[in-house]
Amino acid sequence: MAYNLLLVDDSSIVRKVLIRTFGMTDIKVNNFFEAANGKVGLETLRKEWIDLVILDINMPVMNGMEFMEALRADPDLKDTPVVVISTEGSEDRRKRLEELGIRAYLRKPATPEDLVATLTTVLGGISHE
Amino acid sequence: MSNADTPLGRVSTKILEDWAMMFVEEVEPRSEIFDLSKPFYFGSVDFKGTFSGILGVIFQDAFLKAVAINLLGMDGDVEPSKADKLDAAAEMVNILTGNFLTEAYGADEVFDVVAPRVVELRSNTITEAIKGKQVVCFMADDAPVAITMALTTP
Repeated sequence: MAYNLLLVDDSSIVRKVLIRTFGMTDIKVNNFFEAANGKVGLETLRKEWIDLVILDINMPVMNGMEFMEALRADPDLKDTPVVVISTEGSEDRRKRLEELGIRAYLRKPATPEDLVATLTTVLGGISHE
Repeated sequence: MSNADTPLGRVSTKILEDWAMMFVEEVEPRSEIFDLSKPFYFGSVDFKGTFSGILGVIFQDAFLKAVAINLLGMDGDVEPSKADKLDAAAEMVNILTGNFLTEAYGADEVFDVVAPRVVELRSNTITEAIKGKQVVCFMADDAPVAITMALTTP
């Protein structure tokens, strides 16, 4: 199965590194969609079929926490799987993200091996329904 | 005591080695490690919480280029775009700040951080930029870099 992935991170170099990392794995990607903040991410989700969102937290315009709250409040989008990759170290904020239903949390700097292992696990549990 | 043994030093070493994939060697914090004839950049992130302050990184183009090349897996003789270089620096400051705050103050503390910014510095301000702050300096892939932290509230 090939996946459509949405990368929501204000750093274009992080998005490039993620795309490069996927290129070195067996994970098949149909399309990468990119968004520099949560607002653009939500707009993309409303237009495109997305299998998984990879989300940063600290972003301008709409941060990752606000994105998650908006996502879960939207009946059409609330079940979209999300993996967070962030520098956020606060336990309280991580717990809040877990309450909002993220599938996994990776702390930057995540190694490519950690990233691949996590995404393989998460994507393995995703099917087009 | 080496500054590399402080929370700022430990986190800086880890991020430069593990994330930026650089070989790092701690050097004495002084402006002469830089090439004073070339432009300087200052990347920084403000944080606010129980403790508030600013974490900054001072570097020059050689460091910017090395980080971008390593992250993007480019050949060493290829020149990354200025946008990629500055974006790589901004992300590095962001990662440094997030990891430093947890290392220094623990996971129970909650901090708000603003998006990183990178500005050009004049060479005659370098001494001032590292004075009176926690600072650790490295040669990273033979390029100088100074990482500073200053609290604005105790």
